[in-house]
Amino acid sequence: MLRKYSNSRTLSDNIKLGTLTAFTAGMVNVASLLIFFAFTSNVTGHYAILAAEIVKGNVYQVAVVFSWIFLFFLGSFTSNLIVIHFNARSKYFAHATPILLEMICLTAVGFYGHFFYRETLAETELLLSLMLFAMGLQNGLTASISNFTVKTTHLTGTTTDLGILCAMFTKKEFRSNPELLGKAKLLSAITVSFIAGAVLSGLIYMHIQFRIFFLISFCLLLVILYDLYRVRIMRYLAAGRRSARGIAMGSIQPVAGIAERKEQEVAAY
Amino acid sequence: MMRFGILYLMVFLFGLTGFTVMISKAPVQEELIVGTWEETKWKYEKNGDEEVQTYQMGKEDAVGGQPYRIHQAETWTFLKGGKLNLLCKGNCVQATWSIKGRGNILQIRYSDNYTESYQLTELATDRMELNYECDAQAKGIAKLNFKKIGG
Repeated sequence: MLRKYSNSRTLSDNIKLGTLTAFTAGMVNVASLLIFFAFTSNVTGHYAILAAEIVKGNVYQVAVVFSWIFLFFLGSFTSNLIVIHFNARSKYFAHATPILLEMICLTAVGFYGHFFYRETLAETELLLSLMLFAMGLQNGLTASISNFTVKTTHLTGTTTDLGILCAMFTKKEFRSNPELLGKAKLLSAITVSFIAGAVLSGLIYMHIQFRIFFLISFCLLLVILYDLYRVRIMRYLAAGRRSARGIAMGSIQPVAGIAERKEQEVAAY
Repeated sequence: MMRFGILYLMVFLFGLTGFTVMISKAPVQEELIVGTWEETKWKYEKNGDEEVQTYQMGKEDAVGGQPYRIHQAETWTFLKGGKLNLLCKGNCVQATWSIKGRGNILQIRYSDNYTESYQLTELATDRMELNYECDAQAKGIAKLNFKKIGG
């Protein structure tokens, strides 16, 4: 999910990443709506609200909504900054760090909300800001590493693309195009996952309140651990292959083949 | 690279300064609302322009199939620290209040954990307008107007 970058990613990589992150985004969005009466996983509506508040002359609301939009932007900026500056050293580290930051933000929201939240407006704005920054981080990361294919915190573009694809599938030549079919699978998976996360969040929020953010952070931890586990397994297998070859071949240098290329890939992780 | 860094930093500081100035100059809803408010008008809005004024409803009536409570002809006293006293025909009901969203939602929670949410459409030093919220996206099911009668 996190180890590969841009065009080297497979459809399966994108579906796994898209499904898990859309699920968490759906949960965050509904949780923020139920607790704080504001959406946090998308900013399209906030732009409309910003314009409306400017017209009404509500200075406080203008400042707050502007800061929310800016924090979503800052999240995306930070995410991509980490990806492009650390990609050469370790793809896994560069791609996992924004998710780790997102986890820290959401865990902080859950921890503060559960133990200290007194329902003041300042606290509400601060926690909403953290959530918007976290969603910006997530959307920036998924879009960046998937070459803008996976965007999981809002469904406007996804729904538009699905509409276009469904229209295209009325012609046989498009129905048999594996690339388009793959894209439809990815977009459908993201949509279903986002809705599932949102519904689950709505159902369990009443029972677990702010602890829902710990659950969301756990889902994000799975995203990080999934690849960490695979990296460790691959390193272990590569080490095993090296030692087996050393025993069998002595000092003979083998011609570079698939196994060597795989080892080089593992080293790059 | 250095030039870009300075440019980014300047834009960020400019935005931060603008935000700080706006927040410090703007009236804070949580301070404006504190005081005693008398309900002056209560309107039930079926559609945007269709209004049935002073619609008499019981405490547990339904709009659109959703059970809810609307208090009317009351004096609302918002105290610092989130306490709210609702005075109706000599009876005082105690609740807690909080402002949510971007400062546009007034949430009232009763002792039995029942919560009501109102859209804070207007809040000035002497008047307040609330819209009862029965859905996250809906507005204007019931409109309540208040005038401030005490600090």
